[in-house]
Amino acid sequence: MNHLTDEQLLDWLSGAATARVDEHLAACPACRVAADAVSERLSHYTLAIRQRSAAPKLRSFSSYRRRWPHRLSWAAGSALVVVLVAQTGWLSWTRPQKTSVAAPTPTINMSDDELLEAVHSDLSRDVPQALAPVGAITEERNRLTTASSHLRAKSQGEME
Amino acid sequence: MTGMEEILTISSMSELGWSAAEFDDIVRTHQARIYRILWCELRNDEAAATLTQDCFLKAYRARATFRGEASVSTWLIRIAVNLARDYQRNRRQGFWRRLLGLNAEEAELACLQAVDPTPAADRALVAREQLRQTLQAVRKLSPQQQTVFHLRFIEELSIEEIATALRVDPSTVKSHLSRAVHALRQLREQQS
Repeated sequence: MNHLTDEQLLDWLSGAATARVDEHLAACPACRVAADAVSERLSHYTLAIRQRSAAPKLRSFSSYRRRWPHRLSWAAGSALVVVLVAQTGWLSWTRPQKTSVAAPTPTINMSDDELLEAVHSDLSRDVPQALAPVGAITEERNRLTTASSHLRAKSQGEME
Repeated sequence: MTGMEEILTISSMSELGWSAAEFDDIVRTHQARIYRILWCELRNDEAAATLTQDCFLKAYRARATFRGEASVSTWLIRIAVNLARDYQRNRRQGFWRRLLGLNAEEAELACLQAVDPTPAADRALVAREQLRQTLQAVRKLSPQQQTVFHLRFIEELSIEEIATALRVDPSTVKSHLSRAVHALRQLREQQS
């Protein structure tokens, strides 16, 4: 008999070897050494893997099965948030477009000449247009101060 | 529980429809094995634990489709192996592995070194080297061959059970196992 084939060695490792294979292994030192070496490697590998992959303390099935409704509620909640964000985005996208069409800013329609004229008139003012109300108040206060000082001087003159 | 008892229990469960309590018993019986199979496929504690739970959830949701033609164990193994393959196929996993530069063999050996069973230091070194070589040899097998190898030698399933679980022909299982044995035999020949 020739040396053992891989299939015969597999049968021997599986405890399903024929009597002929056993006889050969008893008579052939080379095959015996090879079979023992493979067997030793396998048992070492198996032991190492089994020890390393010993299951951790996993939770009972009932406990993690109950998590599914939570997972579903999370999924539903996430979907709702996405819908709300999308809706908000859509509204913010569409609203400015409507307002810009309905109420265009006056500056857009102002011609270059009109703009230059407005700037020139603004520069030629004593008080800038934006400060015009303040200017009016100051002017009124100065007028009242002058009037009161005139009255005071007049009354002093009459007393003298 | 013998195989026949298991089949009888399964049949009665199928007729009644598994309740959560009955399914708890199934989980308790099979969870260590399913975790081990997933760990062998993935070499990752966290992923194996997560997929073990997913495996039982998937089985529970699909319990109505279980006809008892195969044993519960075989059915669960099939689900677990498919989950592991889906996980490995996931491109994101590959992306993160590449990004982090993880060397699978080094990580694997580091995992297993912690459980070196040999007591003497010199023997431990030899055993560690042998284990490293065996890991490399197993790693070089195709994913299907690795699965078959683990189911046969770690889980001690018969060739028929493996064939049923993986939905392949028994001759294919034998062929994969022969390839694995050949790889281990080559290691010894290279050494000598």
